[in-house]
Amino acid sequence: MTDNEKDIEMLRSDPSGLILRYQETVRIIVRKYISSGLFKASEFEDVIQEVNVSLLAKLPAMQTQYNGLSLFRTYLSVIVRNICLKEADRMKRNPEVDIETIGEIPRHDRVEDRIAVEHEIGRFKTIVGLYQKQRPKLLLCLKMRYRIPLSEKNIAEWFPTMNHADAIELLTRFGGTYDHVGDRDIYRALTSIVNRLEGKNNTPDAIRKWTDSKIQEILELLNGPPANSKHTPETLKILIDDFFSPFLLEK
Amino acid sequence: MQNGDSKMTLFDPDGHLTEEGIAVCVDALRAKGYDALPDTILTHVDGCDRCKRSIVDTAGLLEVDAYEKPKPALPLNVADRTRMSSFFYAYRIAASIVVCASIGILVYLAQILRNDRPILSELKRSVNGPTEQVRTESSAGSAQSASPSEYAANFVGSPTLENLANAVTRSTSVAVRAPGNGVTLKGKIEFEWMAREPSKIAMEILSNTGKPVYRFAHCKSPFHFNGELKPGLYYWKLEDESDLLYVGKFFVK
Repeated sequence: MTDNEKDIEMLRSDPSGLILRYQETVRIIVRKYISSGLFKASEFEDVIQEVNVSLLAKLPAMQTQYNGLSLFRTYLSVIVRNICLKEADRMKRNPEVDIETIGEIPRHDRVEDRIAVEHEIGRFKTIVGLYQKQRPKLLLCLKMRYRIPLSEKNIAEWFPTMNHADAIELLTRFGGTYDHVGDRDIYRALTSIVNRLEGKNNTPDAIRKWTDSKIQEILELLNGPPANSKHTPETLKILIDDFFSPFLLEK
Repeated sequence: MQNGDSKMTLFDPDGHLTEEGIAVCVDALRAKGYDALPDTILTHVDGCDRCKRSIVDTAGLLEVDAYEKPKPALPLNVADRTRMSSFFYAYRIAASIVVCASIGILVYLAQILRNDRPILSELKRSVNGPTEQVRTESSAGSAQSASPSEYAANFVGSPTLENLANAVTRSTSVAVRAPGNGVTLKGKIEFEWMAREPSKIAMEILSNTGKPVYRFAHCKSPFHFNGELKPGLYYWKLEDESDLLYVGKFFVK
């Protein structure tokens, strides 16, 4: 029997025991929210108590609503997250974000900092993954907005139906360094590609606004609420650079 | 999953994803199968900031959970806490005895090293050349017996090394080509990487419990490993003079 099957069985037969089994997960999530400033460290035990009381009260609903379509651990994490946010609202706490540590991109030369950077890249990957339909256009616009060279692999993965002549032209102009190219020319080139691919008639200004709005959305998702970090369009470039780095080993 | 079914069970009356709906999306993302979810879910998430935020936050929390070392959970009722307190008191006394014994053994070994007995001189003489191979443990790694439970124990990972190996490792100094992380290998093993300063890389193979099994100073890529490794989980590290560059893992069957 897998762990998830055991969890599902316990939800039926011993739901309180199941909550006990996941106490470590609850503690980890609350600690995470303390480190992000949603709660104070002194409130740790109180928040844990409140989460447990809420979980126990919610058990009957969980027994009827949980359908086994997701891992129970993930499902419980969603519930604990929501309870923490409600508790923070109730406490009317303003997150105290430590700008000096959270806003920085950690250095790359220590293992712990590299793991923190990879964690941020992981969050960025999660966010990009959610733009299922718009993902190719989003990634193209992000790369060109931040002057990151395009590759053949990008074209093949994102626009498999692009005709060969267009692909060659794109790679010739934007496959190497193009920091010197101004925004006007970038968005003009982007507009002609996007219009050909989508069969639409956007203007360069519309594409620029779309790109800027997506960057804002991504920053809001990265930064919270609840407060996680203080990314800016400039630090986003670092994440995007790392995301596309050939040295990044996919797991 | 039919589109109709997903709408019935994973969306709340307001049209947003339920808690289980969010969990389904998170699981799909972590399993790299997000795009295979029903269109109703994908279309909704594409246009819903609230659900996107829930998914991103939960995925982030699960990543944090994965990095934390598991600790024993405290029970909720007082009687069990009291029992556990007594247990931990005895545990502390036993741990103190073990620490004292270990210090005694270390002092004894230090005295042996100072006296420079013949067996240690032979060991020192066996270390030569620019490529230093030091076997610090039997090549079996931690596999000392063929019993099923001990065999299985050789495949249990070390929490610290698992975290490092499972992190999306990036180094500006090295890019690893082989072996792939988590692959199963047999016979000779070829390690291959690209490094900015190839002459300064050392490589170490560790058992599943983190004990060094082989260490090679001044390694060059590709590196053909012909040593003996009994079945189990192994980790391998690349280091330069000052930094850990890469941690990977592989299985030997």
